[in-house]
Amino acid sequence: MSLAPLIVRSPLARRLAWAAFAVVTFGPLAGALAAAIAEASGGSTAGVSALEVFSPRRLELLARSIAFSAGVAGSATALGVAAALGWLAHWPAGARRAQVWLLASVALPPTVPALAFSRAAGALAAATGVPTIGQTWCAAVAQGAALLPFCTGLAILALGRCDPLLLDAARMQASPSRVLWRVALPLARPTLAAGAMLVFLLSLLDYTMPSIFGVNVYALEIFVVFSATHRVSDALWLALPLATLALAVVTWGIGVPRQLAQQAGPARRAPEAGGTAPACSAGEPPRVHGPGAQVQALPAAGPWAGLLQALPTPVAAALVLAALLSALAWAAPVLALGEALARPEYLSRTLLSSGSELVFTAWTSAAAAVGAVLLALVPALTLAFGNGVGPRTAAGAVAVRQWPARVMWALVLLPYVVPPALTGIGLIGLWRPMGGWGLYGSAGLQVAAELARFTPIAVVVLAAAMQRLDPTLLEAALVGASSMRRALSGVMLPLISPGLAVAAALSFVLSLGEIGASLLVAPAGSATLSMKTYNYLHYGGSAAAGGLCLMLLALAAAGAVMGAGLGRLVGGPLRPDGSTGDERAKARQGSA
Amino acid sequence: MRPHDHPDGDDRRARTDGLPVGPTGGPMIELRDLCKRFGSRCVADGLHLEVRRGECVALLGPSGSGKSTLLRLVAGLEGADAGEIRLGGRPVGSDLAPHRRGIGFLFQSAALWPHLSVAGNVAFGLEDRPAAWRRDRVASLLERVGLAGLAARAPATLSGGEARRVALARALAGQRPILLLDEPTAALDAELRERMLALIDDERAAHGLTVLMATHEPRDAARLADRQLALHQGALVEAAR
Repeated sequence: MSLAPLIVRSPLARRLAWAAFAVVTFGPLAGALAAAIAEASGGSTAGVSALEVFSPRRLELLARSIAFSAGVAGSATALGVAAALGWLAHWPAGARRAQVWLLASVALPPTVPALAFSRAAGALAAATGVPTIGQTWCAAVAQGAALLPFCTGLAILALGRCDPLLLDAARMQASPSRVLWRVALPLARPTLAAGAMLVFLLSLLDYTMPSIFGVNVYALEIFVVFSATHRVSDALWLALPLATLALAVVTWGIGVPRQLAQQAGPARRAPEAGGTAPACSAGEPPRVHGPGAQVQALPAAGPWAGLLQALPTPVAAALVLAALLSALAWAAPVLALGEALARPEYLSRTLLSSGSELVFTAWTSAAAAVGAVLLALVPALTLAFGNGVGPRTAAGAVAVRQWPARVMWALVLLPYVVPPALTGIGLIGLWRPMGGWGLYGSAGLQVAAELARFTPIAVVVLAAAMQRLDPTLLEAALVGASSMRRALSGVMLPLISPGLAVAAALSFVLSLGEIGASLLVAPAGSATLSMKTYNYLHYGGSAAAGGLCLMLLALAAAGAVMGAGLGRLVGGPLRPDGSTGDERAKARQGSA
Repeated sequence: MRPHDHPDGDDRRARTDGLPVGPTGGPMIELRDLCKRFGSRCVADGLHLEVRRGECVALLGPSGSGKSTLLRLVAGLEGADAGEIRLGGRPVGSDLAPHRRGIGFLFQSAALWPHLSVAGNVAFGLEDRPAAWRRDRVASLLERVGLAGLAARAPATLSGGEARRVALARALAGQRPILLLDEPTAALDAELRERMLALIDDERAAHGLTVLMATHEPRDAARLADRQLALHQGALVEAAR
């Protein structure tokens, strides 16, 4: 029996929750389809035909966009792995500390690194007297550098989670290079592949960074054509090749979460089945094999330092160089913003003139974050603990090999194939013909766009957090608690509260940086901070953009702090007596 | 006929940088004044040990006493704080990589690489041998551990006993002159235990392996070891038989 039906007992409630998720995430696509059909049945023929979609110019643009994205994904992932190895070999404790910040950089609004790297390109041109390299290369370097810290963080995570004992066993038998190629990298491959897939899709579907550098990409074409014609069917036709390609990548990628799920929970691999990682219950630090386990923190310094320092000097030097590059890529936006701070007159003027954008951005992003987490709960629960259709695999592993689970993963990952511009266009196509029902032309459409884009991410984050739980902890709560409410509030929520906090904070910060759909759906007279920054960057107002980026970062930091606070409020770290945050609050009220 | 022409032939020269080929009868493994601490916990405190060529020594002691650490120090997976380790009469520093020490290591858990098949796991350390020899060696070892039909299987599909046997086959595959065994029969039933011990005994007799074994199972020590030592507060003492 799966856990999800035991936790959310009503099948109707589960179906309604899935339906709400589907409406929010697939609504824009359905709206685009409906609008396109309406346009076709209305007899309108003036628009983009299939022939025009596949015109030589557009095919070339598509090919260039694919090459751009593949180049960014490949180079950022390769450099990220090299950088991670450099960090792990020479600064293992720091690598673990830096990992969170490196990973969090993916949520950085894209205008912040765009500002940093456009300035860097300008400074380089001024210093050398040589015109900058081609704009496409500039955009690719900026996009790659913006995502390099994320790739490095992911590689540290992936390599740091390799069982040190497996590395030790390989070191006993083969040279460091062979251990690296044949054991360490294959073990880390699922996570690295997931990262590369994400970077590829981000680069392919979002036009923000290329357009700031004046580079035309296929995703931008969708936006441009819709802005010119206001015909949803044109945008839909144009989005088709891009969505098909993204669909192919995501279809391949559906296997990646499965592999990650199998690797995720140390408790899920039965040691007797060749698995080596012992069970690790929540709240307990992960156990490391070997006698040094009691004093050794992950990622284990021993195997990595021993392994990588035995590599030939040029290779080791290259790894250190990659690590430095990664740190520089992370620091560049901070340095660029420091420059903005040094020009207080611009900064104060920008801050004073952007109050309405600040308020609009803050509340729409917060609404999107709360909505995304609420909508994500039941889908994540089902993905993590099975849907009750098929038997769960041994040791509590997720039964993602069975087709219902694969279909559910597909449902969750499918919204990623929709270009952000098409999300915005679809929402317009959905709500405009209905007279808006109060949504069209309001901030609600902005929230709907952010929900459509980031709810799937909240589902994946929450599902991953749940998969890391030992199912027996939940089963014990279901059996032993006096009521379902007690089991949920006393065990389930506290255990998943870190996941809830991360999902909420991530949705909030990603919403802050959303541009692709916002440019289309933001109500007249309103704009988000990211939109305003994008416009400034587009027209060369980098000092004002710096001030706006600082505001964005301040909001992002506030969101992260509030997310952490939410996590503590909902669950809080369990005390030795087992009481949780809400129980402590009640106790405080009682004593008052 | 060259030594590695036969898969069960004796070929200890490969991948050991000449280690360990000390004088016959001299100690194969020698630890002198070895010290190792983890924070405030002392695992080895001026420890001395000599294991002669072909000898089997069992290290006894409760969990956490440092038996596994001692094996890892010998294997080069941990660095000593002080003291000297000599293999085959030659001092080995931290600069000598673990795979160059001529050691086969059976870890406490199977530690099978999940992305390689059973045969891939066993053959991993044999890349510098001829392909035909490698194939024969893997087939021969798998047959001897009773897993002849499982060569293509993934480690995740094996039972605990099967995984342990694959791990033993992997440790023996390279025909390294020193064999380190960390709790070789942990969590095995009586029949499998006896089978594993018999195989180790056979290999040792056939190839003159020097064996250092960490165990908290006195019956295993009695079955295999020529000498039994107990690790107590960082020092080795003769264990009562």
